[in-house]
Amino acid sequence: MDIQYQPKPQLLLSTFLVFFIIHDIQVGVGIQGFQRIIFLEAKQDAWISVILSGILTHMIVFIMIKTLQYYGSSDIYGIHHDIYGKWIGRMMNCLYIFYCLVTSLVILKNYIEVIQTWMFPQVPTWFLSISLLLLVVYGVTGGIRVIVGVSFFNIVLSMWMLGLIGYPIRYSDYTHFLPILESNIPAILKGTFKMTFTVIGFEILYVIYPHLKEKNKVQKFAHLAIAITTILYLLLMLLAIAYFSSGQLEKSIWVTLSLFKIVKLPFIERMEYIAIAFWMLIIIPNIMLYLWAAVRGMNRTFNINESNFIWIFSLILFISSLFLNTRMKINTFNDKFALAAFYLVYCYPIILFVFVLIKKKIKGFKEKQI
Amino acid sequence: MFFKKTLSTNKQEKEKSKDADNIIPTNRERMSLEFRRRLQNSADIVETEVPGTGITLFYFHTLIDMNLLHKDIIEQIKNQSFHSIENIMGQLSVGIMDKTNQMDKVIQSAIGGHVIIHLEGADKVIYARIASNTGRALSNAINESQVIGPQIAFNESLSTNLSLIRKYIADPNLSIEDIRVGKRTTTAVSLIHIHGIANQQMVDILRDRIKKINMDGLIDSSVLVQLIEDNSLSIFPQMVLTERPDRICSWLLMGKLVVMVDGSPQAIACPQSFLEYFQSMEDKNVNWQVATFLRLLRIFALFLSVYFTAIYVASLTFHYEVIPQTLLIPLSESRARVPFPPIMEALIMEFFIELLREAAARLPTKVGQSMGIVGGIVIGTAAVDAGFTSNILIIIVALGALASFTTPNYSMGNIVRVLRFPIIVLAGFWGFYGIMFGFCFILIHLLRQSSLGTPFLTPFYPPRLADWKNSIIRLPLTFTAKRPNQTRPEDVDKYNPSVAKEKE
Amino acid sequence: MIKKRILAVYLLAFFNLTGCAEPQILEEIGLITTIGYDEGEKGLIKGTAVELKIEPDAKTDIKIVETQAYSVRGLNTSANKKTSKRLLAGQLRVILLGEELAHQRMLHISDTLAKDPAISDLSYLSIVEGEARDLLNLQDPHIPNIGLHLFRLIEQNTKDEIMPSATLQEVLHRYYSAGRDPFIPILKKIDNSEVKFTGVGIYKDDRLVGRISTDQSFYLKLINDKYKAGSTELIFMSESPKLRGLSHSERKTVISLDTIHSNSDIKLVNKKNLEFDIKVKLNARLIDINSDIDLTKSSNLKLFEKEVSKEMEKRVENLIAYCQSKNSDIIGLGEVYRFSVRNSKLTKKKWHEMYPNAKVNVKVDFTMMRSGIND
Repeated sequence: MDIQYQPKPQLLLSTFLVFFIIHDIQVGVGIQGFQRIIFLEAKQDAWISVILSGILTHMIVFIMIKTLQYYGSSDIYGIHHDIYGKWIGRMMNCLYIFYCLVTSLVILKNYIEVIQTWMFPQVPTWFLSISLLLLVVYGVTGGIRVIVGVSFFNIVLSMWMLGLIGYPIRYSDYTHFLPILESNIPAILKGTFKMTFTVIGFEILYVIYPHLKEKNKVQKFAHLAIAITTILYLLLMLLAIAYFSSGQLEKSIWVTLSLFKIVKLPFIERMEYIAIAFWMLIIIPNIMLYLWAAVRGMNRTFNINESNFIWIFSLILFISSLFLNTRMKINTFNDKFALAAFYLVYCYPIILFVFVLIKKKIKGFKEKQI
Repeated sequence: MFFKKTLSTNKQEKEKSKDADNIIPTNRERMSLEFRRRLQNSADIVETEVPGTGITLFYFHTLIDMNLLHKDIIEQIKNQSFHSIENIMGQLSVGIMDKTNQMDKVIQSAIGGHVIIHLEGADKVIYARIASNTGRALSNAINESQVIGPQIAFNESLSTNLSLIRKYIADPNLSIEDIRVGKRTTTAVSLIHIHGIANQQMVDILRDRIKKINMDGLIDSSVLVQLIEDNSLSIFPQMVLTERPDRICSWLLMGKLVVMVDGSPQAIACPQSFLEYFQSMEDKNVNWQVATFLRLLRIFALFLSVYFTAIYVASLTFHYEVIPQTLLIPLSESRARVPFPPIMEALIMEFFIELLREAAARLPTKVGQSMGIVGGIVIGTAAVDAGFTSNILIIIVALGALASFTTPNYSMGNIVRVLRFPIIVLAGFWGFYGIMFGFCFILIHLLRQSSLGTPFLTPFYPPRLADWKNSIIRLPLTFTAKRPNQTRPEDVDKYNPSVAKEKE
Repeated sequence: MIKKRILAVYLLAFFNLTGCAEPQILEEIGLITTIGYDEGEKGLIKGTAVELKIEPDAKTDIKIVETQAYSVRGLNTSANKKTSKRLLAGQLRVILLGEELAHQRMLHISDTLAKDPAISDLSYLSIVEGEARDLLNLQDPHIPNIGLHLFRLIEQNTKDEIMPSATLQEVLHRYYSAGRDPFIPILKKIDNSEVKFTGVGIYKDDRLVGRISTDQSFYLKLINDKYKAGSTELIFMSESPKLRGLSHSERKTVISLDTIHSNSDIKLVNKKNLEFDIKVKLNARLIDINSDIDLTKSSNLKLFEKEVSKEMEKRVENLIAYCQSKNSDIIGLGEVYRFSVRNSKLTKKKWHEMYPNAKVNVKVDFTMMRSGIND
């Protein structure tokens, strides 16, 4: 396979769209209930964990883009091939494809869980799973432009939800934040670690990078996206701490959705029902992007036709979604996934970067000798 | 050039023998026989011998203007003797005429409203165009009427329509290209663009698409649209039809391409974006604040008309929790006597409204109006009194229908109404989840469409911030000095904005 | 391509038949708008639900459903046996707790209700003097819908800042805070024709331990919260003869205050001996006074303001003393302690040991803004 990958001009995307891609894929499923997980670790200082995780993410993204820039126009599959050679490279690629699929599964399954708890306890999982995957397949077969289009519209169209935050603000008690820095540093860091599950998604850069038009501007927009996401998470974290008392926060599963519970408009009440349904628009592009990344990986690694794998992978997702059927299983799965994601998303880029550096050094050394 | 396509196909069919047959017979009798044979001995063929000249005229009396024939042809050549057809041509004062020795050409011209002038013994004939102008006069735009701005609409004559466009745009760069479509109708289709503004690549693609059409007949431009649009399986039309010459001209100036079909009062314009279906020509003619208000109103109406009934159905069927306390009792009271579930109730009412609309559209105007009254008031009230539907639903359905009529484009208005039904069904089965499913599906579907290669949702996606100034809002003209990116124009500037600002 | 499409249509039809969600059509369900819980025999809970039941031919829109069960959820199941429509609680607006039950099971009931996604966090909680069942069975021609009446009554009073707000969210919020105890307003049926707000029940953890009067609830809100447009009436024995009331038999001063605007500030001043300072700033419009004091004089005005401040201080002190005696921290002094003391690791239990011995200094600063249109 070729290490370099140059997509056709009509498949190139304006660089600023990377902002929408990253912001959208980060704000996926974790946002519905991350506050509780962090709060359990860092108590009222949980918001510091959020900021720290934002800073950490900035650093990782910086390293990721630096790694990619060494290759000009390549993705992680090409880099793997270059660094590890044919066979190990293929193995690593398979691992990455597997990771993408598992992430799609986590997103899909968590959304289905919300729907079943909140709206339709009777609707079977297979139905929700199929209906969502049909939309996903329809989008992914349209190509990268359509996928990015959905994530763009998702962000533009879900802006109104920010307005809903105004309601819980009225019931907020800001003394909940005090005393600041009461938790010890390890607890806050542990909270940061727990944020992983919520903020992952930016690793899509590894795959989407060759599709961006102006590579030198990627840093700017990627960091902007991370910053906005962090601000959003920070806002929701602060709000959750201020609105709920500590005992409540430790008990509620989907804190963000519970925040919407008190929104009451003259013509409609109980905004969380609308928000949950609307969440579909937020979920769909996320699954699409991951599925696309997986399919692209198959194409790059084994040179196989993409369109068949869209169907095959969806089928795999569908079948595995049926097995995760109880809250316990989902939670265990989420926890294990969060741990794996931490290593793959936060630790691995650094290792890869070092490898790339070494490789380039050796290559430069060899060239000099010749 | 005109008949290149027909000629080439004919040649392939009857290659050798035809070549010899195709020469014009110099003898009048044989000419007459051949002419009649090829035209199936039609009853409206007329042969007129001009006395004392040896000239015979062949024509369809149904196609030509008899006055012109007498005044411009017979009067000019009668009682003179001619040696060659060139002499005759010198005598005639007809604008469009030529000579040929090909029988095919003769036949085509005769069908096209030419008179064939045959001189005994000459190896060529003259064909002169004196077609009669059967058709109606120009009239007001009825389907796309507006208060401010020009009132005129295209009619069925291609040349009249083209002259209307020429009048608006007196630019030497206005290019009108003639293409014939249809094996049997050989309808004249004009591909119009302004050279230097329109993207040449797009022109090539469109020309190619039109030329590739292989069908027997083309009657109207609406059929042509279905043949040349990017994805004809989609419910959304990707090219727009309009009857307004001013609209066509303003689009031409934006760099769009226009296709006109002879015999059709509607012109096709492309590339077209989804959003433009909700813009009216009038938006340009009123000031920008009002235009912005109207555009936002129409977008709101779009959502209202597609989703309002569905939200009613979803709330009443699944999500009773979202109903505010103040609406709870009126809603339950009005629903208490209705024997159907909300989805059936809504579908029946929507169906009823559609029946009314369709019936009113098919009936003569005066009857149609009374129809609306009968349907709206009598049946509506009776349905509520009989406990057939709830009165709140009537309001919602009527509002939705009303909102769908605000769509300036007729065909898009139809689509908006049709879209409502699947959404209602989805809402009836899976509540808000179903509505959202429908919404996502439509969104992805729209994202997948393109119009002449341009994304259908432009300027929103791919986002072109500069073009948002004239999208669901409209900023003052000084802000919109550039042509939209949608048409990928070769000349970007409409005018120099700095000059436009200096009014004093 | 076409085959795929036909397949898709079949699939869609299949989904419609099998994946359909269970409908809850508005007129086919019985909407519980108000529910009352009472203590039954042998640990049973007696539930009284007001079902909104719109029947075109019925005289009233509501039906009272009474039933008994061992659990809150069980009530729903057993109530269903009595009704023609499936009872659902998604439009629940008012939760009434009978006096006896409110002593023990308030938390259990609110927790169970809060867990149900269908139930709004903005439902009001109230204690009923006597039995909730009795109150819901109130018969009066002017109150055709007792559920709606109660909801409007509570909503109106809460908005006018007469009744302290106790929604499900707020009660649980207070309960789950380490240094704070919940309180719930008390309603009473009067003469089988009226419902009245008569006081506020105060809790220690999840036990109802005492009650304060509606007058005291004004001061509760004064320190706990902010007033934006409250009003109150103050009757007191003035020390200065100038202020003595004319109309009152004991010459007590009666004043009415309106558009009260207040904010309070609680500070922990001594961590070891636990001493709090409560400062309340309050300004209002005087609309009525029964003495002939000339308030245009600045010395008189000062005197008046001082007297009122003093009286209010006394009342706040009384309220706090009462709460301390019941070991119920409805004001939330514990929260102040929690956020003022680093690493306090405050728990409810710990706080209830410390709280009764806390010293509280109250300072009220009253300013009269204006007094009507005539001096």
